[in-house]
Amino acid sequence: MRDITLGQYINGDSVIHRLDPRVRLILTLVYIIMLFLLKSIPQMIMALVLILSAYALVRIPMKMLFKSLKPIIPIVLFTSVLNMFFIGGDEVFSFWKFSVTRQGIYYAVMLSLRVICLLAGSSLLTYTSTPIELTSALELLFMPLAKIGLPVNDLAMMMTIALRFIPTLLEETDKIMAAQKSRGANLDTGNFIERVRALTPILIPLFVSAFRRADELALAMECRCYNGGEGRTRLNALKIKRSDIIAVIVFLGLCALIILSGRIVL
Amino acid sequence: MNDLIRFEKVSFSYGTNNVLDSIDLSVEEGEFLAVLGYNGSGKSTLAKLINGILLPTEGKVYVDGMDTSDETKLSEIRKTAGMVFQNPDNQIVATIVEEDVAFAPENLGLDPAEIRQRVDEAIQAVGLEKHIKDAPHKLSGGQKQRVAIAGVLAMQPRCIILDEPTAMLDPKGRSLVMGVIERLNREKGITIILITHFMEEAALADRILILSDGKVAENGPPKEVFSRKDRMISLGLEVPPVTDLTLRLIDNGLPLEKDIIRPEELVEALLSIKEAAH
Amino acid sequence: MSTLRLDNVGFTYQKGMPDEKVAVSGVSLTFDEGDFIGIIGHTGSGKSTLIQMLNGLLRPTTGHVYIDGDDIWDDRSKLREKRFKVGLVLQYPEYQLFEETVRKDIAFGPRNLGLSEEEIQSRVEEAAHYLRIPEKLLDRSPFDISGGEKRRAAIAGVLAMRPEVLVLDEPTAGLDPRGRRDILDVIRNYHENEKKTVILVSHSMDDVARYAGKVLVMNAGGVFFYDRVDEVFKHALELRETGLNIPTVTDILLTLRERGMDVDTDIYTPSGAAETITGYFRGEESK
Repeated sequence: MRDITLGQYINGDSVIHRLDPRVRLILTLVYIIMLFLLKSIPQMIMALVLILSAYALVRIPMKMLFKSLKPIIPIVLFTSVLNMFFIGGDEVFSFWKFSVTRQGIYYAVMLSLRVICLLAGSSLLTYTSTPIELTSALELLFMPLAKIGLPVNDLAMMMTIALRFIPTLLEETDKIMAAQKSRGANLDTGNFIERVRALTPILIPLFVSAFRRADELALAMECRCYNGGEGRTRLNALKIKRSDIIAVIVFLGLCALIILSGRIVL
Repeated sequence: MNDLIRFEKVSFSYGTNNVLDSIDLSVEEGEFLAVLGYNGSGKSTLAKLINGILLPTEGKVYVDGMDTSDETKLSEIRKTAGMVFQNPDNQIVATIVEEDVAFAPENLGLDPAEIRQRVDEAIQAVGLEKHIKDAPHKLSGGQKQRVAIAGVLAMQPRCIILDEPTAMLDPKGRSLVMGVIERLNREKGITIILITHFMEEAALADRILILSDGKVAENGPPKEVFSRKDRMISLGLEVPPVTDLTLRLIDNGLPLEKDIIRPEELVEALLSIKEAAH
Repeated sequence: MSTLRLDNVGFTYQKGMPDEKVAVSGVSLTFDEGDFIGIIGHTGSGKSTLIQMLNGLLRPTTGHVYIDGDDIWDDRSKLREKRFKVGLVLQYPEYQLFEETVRKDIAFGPRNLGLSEEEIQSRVEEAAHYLRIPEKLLDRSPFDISGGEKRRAAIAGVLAMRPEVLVLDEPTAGLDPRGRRDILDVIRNYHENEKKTVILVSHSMDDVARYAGKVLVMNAGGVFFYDRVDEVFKHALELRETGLNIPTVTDILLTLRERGMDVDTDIYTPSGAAETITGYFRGEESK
């Protein structure tokens, strides 16, 4: 339970790992927007090839991708089939009261491909970025909003602390549960109300401890000269490198190609 | 005036509860002071008064001549006198060791090259080079506490106050942390104020201050303080096992000095008695 | 007649996963009724895992744990009932306090046993008495009392369940010298009066030597020694070589012996050490 990994980061040293996290974040967004601009199956297939080649670059086994796609397959199939039946057009075949149309099938395939690409794209971001990298990327990207009074630094600090304390609090929950079970707390049986009530001996100590930790942490931060985000510098300041610029140009070029190919072919 | 820390008639109370009562204390630059006393004797309050976390209800506290009640000096005071707490989990901010050590220099607004240098130096000083990229929650208690010390060292303080830093550690972690503390004092000349419940740790200090009921009950070198076993016990404390054994041997008529506080001293003394007998 | 017997007990975390970790393996031993047993070992020697198997918090991945001859995992429906025969006080037990008053908190365990209100109250009184918790403290909030008092209230909460075997994991961690002494004296007093089995996990050899009758030394997930205290300290040199903290006085005697003084080294209290050293010099004189 202690080793829960948020966003399932995979340690590595691929070209994509080495990109600035801001670049990774923005390119992922670009890719997702592109998915919604595409209008034909061939384009969608190109988009799929693009993201799969990115996976190949990172050397993430396809097995892992399938594993993360698995839970959504039923939903995709269900909505696709639903669409297939309810979109009107040239009938291909029919049974009972339903008729399946060419347009329906086309749309269903498009939708499935789009969802698969969407998931593959966003998973790639979390596979290659640590939560900390994403936090600093978001912090820097939102920095302009600090000018209109959004406490960007403080929000980023909160994110960091939350990430830091998740394993600690999970471990603590384990310990408290063990202690209360030893005192005969019955956590596994009973109806809903009883079970909720059985949580009190876990939740109260957990909250008390979380508050105590927060208090001590605030004190320790103060002792280390923290007084808000202003004037802070960073050890690992993010810097856009040449490789980042190349990656942006190449990726945007490929996306443009995919979008434009729609106009040429159709 | 080379007192780095000076308390002048300092009292502190929470409401009607008098925690500290008219304390006078000075700590010289480079000194290693151990503070003892039972729980509730005011030790932690004393520590928090030093770097301006708490302000005295009466009297003044000076750090390198700076009055802790002067708000404009607060950042300078906290940089001069760093503080390490008991629970290592609750003072680590970041999810990577080096990022955590960098926290204070980042707050001070130093530039990245300077931060990098301080972080590397601090991590080296506590011997955690191998763990620089690790997640703190995967380290042992003793390692976490050394991360916390490195985090304070990165401010380049002249004094470090440690509030029961080994209370939650196992013997191995405890001796590693104590090793680091001693080295910082002897090699880097950093002033150490160590609050502890372990007499063996206090025996390493230059001077021991014992608090009782918010007052200074004893103030002197370990050899002098520990040689009075009855007094120690009446203050809710104990003497190190070595001193206990030495005092018993003296009672049995062996010609030993009663200020023996370290195992190697006793061994040497006994061996020289043996030599003399031959 | 309540004995706790372990038969080839082992525990592996993440079994079958690439990061599996063997915490305990092949432990076979018996904790006899009425004994006071100290368990020592490094962090990671498997002692915390071992004690969590004693009351069924963890299920051994190999072997069996028997209480009074019954395998506690034989019949899952009876697991809770068997668990109550072994009262486990975990590290920093004050973090389990949650009720409005100390009294209610101590009553939590007995209440879960389904006892009558009268019985519950008498057990609370009894446990509070053992832990030297004054009457007026019982009606205070457990969040509102001193650290040492919280610790004692939490231990009382387990004691009030009247376990046949009381297991305490580092009950003195983080306390001041007086607090440490108080807790250990309370435990000794309970053991002497109730004649029930007490298992004390500690990092302090000095404490184990002073309070326990038997010592279980764990090392690398297995039993290193399990014997009477004086027998175990005959192996003081081996203990020191594995990096265990042996009592300071034993350490001094070992060094004296290495440096050519012929003193006994299976001694672990200051008074015993004083006697043997004095004896040595008297012997020298009379030569």
